[in-house]
Amino acid sequence: MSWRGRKILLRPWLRMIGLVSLIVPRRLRADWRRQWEADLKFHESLHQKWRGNSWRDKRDLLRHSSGSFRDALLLQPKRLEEEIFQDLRYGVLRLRKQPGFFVVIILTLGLGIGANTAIFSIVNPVLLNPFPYRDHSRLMIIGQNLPQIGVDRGLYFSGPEYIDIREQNRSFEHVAAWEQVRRNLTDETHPGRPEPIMAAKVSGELFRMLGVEPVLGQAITAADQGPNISPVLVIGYGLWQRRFGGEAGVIGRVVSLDDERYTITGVMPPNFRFGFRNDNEAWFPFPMDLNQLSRAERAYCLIARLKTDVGAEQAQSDLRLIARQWEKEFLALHPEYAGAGLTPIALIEFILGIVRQALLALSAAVGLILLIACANVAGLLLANAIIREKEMAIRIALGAGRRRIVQQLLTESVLISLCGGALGLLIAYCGLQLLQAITPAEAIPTGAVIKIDTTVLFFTLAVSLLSALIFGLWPALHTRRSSLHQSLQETGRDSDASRPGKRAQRWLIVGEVAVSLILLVMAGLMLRSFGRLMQVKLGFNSDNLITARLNLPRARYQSLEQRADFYLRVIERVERLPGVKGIVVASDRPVSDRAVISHLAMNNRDNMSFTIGAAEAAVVHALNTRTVSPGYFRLMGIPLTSGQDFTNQDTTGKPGAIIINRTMANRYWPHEDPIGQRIKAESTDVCCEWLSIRGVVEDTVQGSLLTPTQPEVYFPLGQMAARYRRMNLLVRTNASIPELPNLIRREVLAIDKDQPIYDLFTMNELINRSVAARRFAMWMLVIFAGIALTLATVGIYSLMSYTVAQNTREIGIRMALGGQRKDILMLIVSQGMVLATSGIVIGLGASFALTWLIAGLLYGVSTTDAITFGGVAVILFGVALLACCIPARRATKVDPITALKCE
Amino acid sequence: MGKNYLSYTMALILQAVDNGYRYGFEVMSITGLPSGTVYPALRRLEDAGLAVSRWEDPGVAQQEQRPARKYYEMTGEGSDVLLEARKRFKLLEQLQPQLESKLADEKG
Repeated sequence: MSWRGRKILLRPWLRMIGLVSLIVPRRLRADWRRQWEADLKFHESLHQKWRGNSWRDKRDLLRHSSGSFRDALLLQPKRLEEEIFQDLRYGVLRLRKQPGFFVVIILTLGLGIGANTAIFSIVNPVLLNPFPYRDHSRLMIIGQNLPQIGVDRGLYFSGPEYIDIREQNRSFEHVAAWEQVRRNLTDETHPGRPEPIMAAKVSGELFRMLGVEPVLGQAITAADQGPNISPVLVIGYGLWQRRFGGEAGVIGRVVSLDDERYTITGVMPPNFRFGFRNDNEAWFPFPMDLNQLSRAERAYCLIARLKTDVGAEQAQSDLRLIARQWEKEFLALHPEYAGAGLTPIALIEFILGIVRQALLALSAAVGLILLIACANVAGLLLANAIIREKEMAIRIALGAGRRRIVQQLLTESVLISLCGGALGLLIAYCGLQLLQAITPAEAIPTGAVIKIDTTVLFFTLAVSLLSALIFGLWPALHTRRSSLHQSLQETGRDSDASRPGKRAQRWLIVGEVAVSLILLVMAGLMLRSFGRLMQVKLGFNSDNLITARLNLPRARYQSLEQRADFYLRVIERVERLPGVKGIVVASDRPVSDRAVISHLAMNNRDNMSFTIGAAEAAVVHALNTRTVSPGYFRLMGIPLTSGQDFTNQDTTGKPGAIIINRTMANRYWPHEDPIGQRIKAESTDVCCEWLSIRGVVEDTVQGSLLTPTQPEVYFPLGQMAARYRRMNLLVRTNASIPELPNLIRREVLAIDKDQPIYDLFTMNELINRSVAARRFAMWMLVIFAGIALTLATVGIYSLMSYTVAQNTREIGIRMALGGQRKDILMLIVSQGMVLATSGIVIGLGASFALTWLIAGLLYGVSTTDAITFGGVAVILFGVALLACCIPARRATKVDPITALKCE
Repeated sequence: MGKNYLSYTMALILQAVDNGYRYGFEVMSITGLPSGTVYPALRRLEDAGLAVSRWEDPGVAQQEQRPARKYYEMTGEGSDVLLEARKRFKLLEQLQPQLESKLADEKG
């Protein structure tokens, strides 16, 4: 028998047969293996006779043996199928016999799986597929630091700067520029129907860089850009459907944006978005040569695509070189370049900012909740398995293999978890509907649509099956280990074999409590932080205040006088409406509806440079500015602490007048009265070079509740109206008047029929919207912490109940021997509280380590806030105590005689 | 698979068995089908009663210094079903020469 001697290891085709034979049913295994090995060895011997074992022969042998896998699989199915159906039927039977027990389990799982499904349906479109562009991970926004004029992470560049970056860089495939604008769209087919739309001026290479093809026509190319070229327009899908009826004939149609004519050349696909706002509906090329513009007029944002083999660090050093070059070459004419820096920021980081952090934190939170839920369910099933030991032992004695029993338990687990998954989907769906009702769309900056789609369904299925594995495996393995003989003899309670199971249950409870504590601490911190945020002093009266926006087209309102005149007429007409206490016009609203969650809110459009101080000590500063009509401060309820307000006499030709806020007064004139002081404007579109300070007002919120007040300069409308095409109306009313917005709109249209107003909100609405994202994250954490707390409580309660039920006999004996009810109570409660306290302590420690994860979301509260930590620990302690006391009280009601008699 | 209906592949394999290619490996070689098809098919033929399997004579195997292999033989029922299949797949008969005639050629 010499063939037995040869080493099988060197013959992988034979090894494979050995491995595959493991899945062949036992009764067929020996025969099957014999057949395959014999044929393979024959095959081998043929090769040896002819050629000796070359690699081709080995390959043939491997191919031969690889078919064994299919053969083995085909020997399986019928029996496995039958067994699975049997198990399912048995599982459903058991469910019906113990409905209460299984309802608790399915509810627990439903909560855990539902929370995960909900978060995933948000994470999927926002983090995993955020942008409709080709390979968005290589797209970068370029930021600029100009410390000399106070620009930090600024987003705006001038035309020549853009050209420099585009031509001199070596890391980017394309660099494109864009400018966000508002336009009134009119066309001949819909006369008298002007429509305000958000649009963007873009440079020629943008669309190619984004890699998105239009559904109709063609996108903007480099050839479309520049002066003397007939202007083209690419519109969005929504606009195409809404205004042009989705007709293919829209290509070539001529429309007007603010009285400038454009030819439509392309329509973008439905999910396409680009720009700071997700509702951009049209894109058109720059009509001028960007290189010809002034180097100091910074109005354009830049986006670039990294070359395929270039990393962000390389791009960073590349940009640094360009900044150095600017400093060297242009410092004399442009002192702001001293110490200038350029930074590339990944697009997703830029758009999402802390939302990304928040979502990751939430994902971790729901993952933990799922673990708690599985732990609870495992504990319950474990307890159940211990009770079922006798049943299992009998089955094994009657011939069921252990593998069969494990298979049955796992099938039951899958059944339970699929029910839990279905419930979870329902919970997630309702939860998402609720969330969408209370959260405005701006909370999600990428404009993603959140819904339960096929990906989410697959995720839910995967999570359900994973849970089944987690909570099902433990009891199943436990069953395998238990001793047959002992189980048959025992009365099914508290046998030695179940001790490891009991220990595991205790550790599960400790873990649950710890995780709940972590989540509660995070929720508590968010709640306190949000409370602080809502207490921030606005500095003005926000009640009964309506805001609206207007965009004046350049063509018809070219001069300062035309614009100022228009606004005056609007003020006159609206003031006369019933219920209106007053109306003013301002270049910006005190609170922006864009939450400060990312770089998006850095709006230094209204930032201008001023020289402050005596000639020798003069320093250039970049300051926030605002242009307001006279009476603004009185209407807004902003106190004028010294000096005087603007009047209607502050127009062009008169000396430049400004009003400053208290922060600016304190910073630059700390020991003297700033009234009458003069500062010099360095920007070109200011009315006058020298500005005299007319008054000082109190600080107000600027743009966002979160940013500390910066120095601010107010200009009078009569002198600065030329600079702004978009203006905000602020209307104070006596009380809330629902039809007022329409009345205002009517008045404005009466002055100019092509002038729509938009973005009509009350001030309080705006404030709510500005904190929408934060509130969203906060509510999510609160909900999840609540779920975790509920699950942990249920876990403690079930464990204690079970312990009491198991130890009824012992309790009966104790009481018969003279034990007091009080002592029994203390015994049970102390058992449970030891676990809870351990969990709390561990949880506190972990919280200290982990709260930095949500640091970016907090305001005014430290990550180790003692009140929150302490409060949560106390709450959890109290709840755990309650959960222990109820079963403990039941224990004290045990009648010793009944207890001794029961089995 | 009903007893009286053979798919083309099954008919091919059954015919190979009929033609004297009795071992799994030989059927593989002569039909060109992979092992993952041939072995399950042979088992199915046996389950359906169209063939029977036997282990080869251990003496022969020992002489050639290899383990004994399993071989298949067609039954009467199999013969009927194969005839039916040949009527449906006219090409079958022409594809494989009889082993006996081949042996006869070699002898002769």
